[in-house]
Amino acid sequence: MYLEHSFIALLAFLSFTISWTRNVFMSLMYSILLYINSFVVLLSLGFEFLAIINVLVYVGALAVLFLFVIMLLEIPSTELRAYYRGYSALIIPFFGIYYYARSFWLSNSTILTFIPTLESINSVGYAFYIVYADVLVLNSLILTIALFGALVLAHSQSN
Amino acid sequence: MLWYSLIELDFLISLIIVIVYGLFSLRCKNINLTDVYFISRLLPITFIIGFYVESCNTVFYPSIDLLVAILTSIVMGSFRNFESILLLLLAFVGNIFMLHSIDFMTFFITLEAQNFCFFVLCALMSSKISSSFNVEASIKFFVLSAFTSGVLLYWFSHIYLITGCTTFSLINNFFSIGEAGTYVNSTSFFSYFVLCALLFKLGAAPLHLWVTHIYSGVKRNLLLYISTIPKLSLFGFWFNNFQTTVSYSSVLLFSLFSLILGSFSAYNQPALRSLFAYSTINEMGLMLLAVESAGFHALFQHLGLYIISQFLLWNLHDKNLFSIVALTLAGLPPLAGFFGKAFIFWHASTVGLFTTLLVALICTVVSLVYYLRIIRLFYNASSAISLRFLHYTGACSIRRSMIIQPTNTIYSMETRVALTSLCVVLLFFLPIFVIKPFVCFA
Repeated sequence: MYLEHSFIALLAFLSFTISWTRNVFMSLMYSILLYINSFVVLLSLGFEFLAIINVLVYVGALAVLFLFVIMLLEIPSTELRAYYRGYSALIIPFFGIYYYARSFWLSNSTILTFIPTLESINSVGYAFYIVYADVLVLNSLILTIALFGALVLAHSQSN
Repeated sequence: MLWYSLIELDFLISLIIVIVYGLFSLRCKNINLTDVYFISRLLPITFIIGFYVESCNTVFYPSIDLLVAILTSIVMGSFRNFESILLLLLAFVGNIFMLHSIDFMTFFITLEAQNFCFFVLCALMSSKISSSFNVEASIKFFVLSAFTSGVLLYWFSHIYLITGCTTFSLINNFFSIGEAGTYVNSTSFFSYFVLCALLFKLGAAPLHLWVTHIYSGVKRNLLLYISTIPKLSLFGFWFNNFQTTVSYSSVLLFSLFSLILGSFSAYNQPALRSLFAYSTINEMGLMLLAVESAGFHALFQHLGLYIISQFLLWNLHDKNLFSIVALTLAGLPPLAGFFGKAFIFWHASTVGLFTTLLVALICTVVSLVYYLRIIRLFYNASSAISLRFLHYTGACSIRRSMIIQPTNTIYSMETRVALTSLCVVLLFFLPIFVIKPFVCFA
């Protein structure tokens, strides 16, 4: 029980440290940790499909995008730090509310554990690969068109 | 469902083979790109003929996908780029699967396939003088189309919320009790909005704003593509799969809007392109009137005549014949356009839409003015500068377009003469074939 509650508390702590650190790269690392943490919390609630999509989109696309932005653009971290006005302290009331409200919800019947029923993955897998399998193949056509189109347009601009 | 459509999905493998074949022409000296063009022009027709060879029909019944295949392979002839031919093939796959789709999911996916191909083609086909027009038109159409797809998905998800299934024929089995104990179809309200997304792609007013931008900004071969194949595949989908299974209220509002806007907005247009964009919107209003009065034979007849006239319009370099084609779009009697329109009006009068018929007739008369103005311009301008050729100039005025030298043409002179004479013969002799319904009905 305390494991799951500590994961939820870690969500709040990580969102605090994202804006509190002075290093831009560490901020990105904390955000990746936050996404993976949300993955674990969603899994423990039973939303497997949403958890996987979360990690796929946030870590796989967005965090990589921010990583490339940090790598390729020279971010003047001192200038960024100059705009920091201490707004990461906004998380502290939420810490307090969470720990205050936990005592109301904490009873013998609310058990927050990881029960691997895998219902949503089962339903999504059935729909994806059995009912709508031909639509999935047509989706690959759309991805081909999008990829091909992006490459062709980029190439013709450089010509 | 995958195993039923596996044979059609194997067409995607043949697309990959065509791509690899085209890529080999970069490395190997013996493989010429013209061979690749020939194969890719043949590919749609061989795909569709496979259906006919495999079937047990004793009578040859031409279906809409055969027409789409033939049109695609004809339109591919005017593109000289390998990427554009490939995009046309990919759009062809989207067209065929949309003509055979009975499910909202496949309808959406295949519609998006066609849209994507058109975005990329729009931005690709740019000449030196109008490249920013192309990109601007492409971005406008992209944003509007993305918004329309969002609307389509939203109402589709509403239908799924109520019924729990996505197939067209199953969603009509859900009824709720309306006023006075009558049964009301639960999903017809939402299917109407899905239809609106389809009407956006057709270019019906009030969703017509992208048509003028696209028509002004792109090259002529792409304009040939956009006026013929998406309209045919969308109307084919509507007739085959949508209107028999999904119930919706009427499209009369769109038809009226398109007729009025298409005929009255064309008055101030200085450029030839936007004039014909509004004439397209006018024609779409007529087609929607045909759909509304359930005259689908009239619809496809007029659509076929419209496609032939679009072929002539965007391929002609001779201005006299151009003006004759403009006449058939206007609907003057000896040419075939008249019979297409007259048949649609006859169907509308059968159903009883007399006010709409009156509005359509007024709009036809009103639109005659600018068609005749084209003829007057092209026949009288020879006093100033003798000009036998029309030149693609993008969004500039008719006056300026007359002071230009002839361009390098896509076809040689012989094929152009052959294509022109074939289409003119069709337009002059087709009335003999289409006048028969009037003799029978009189």
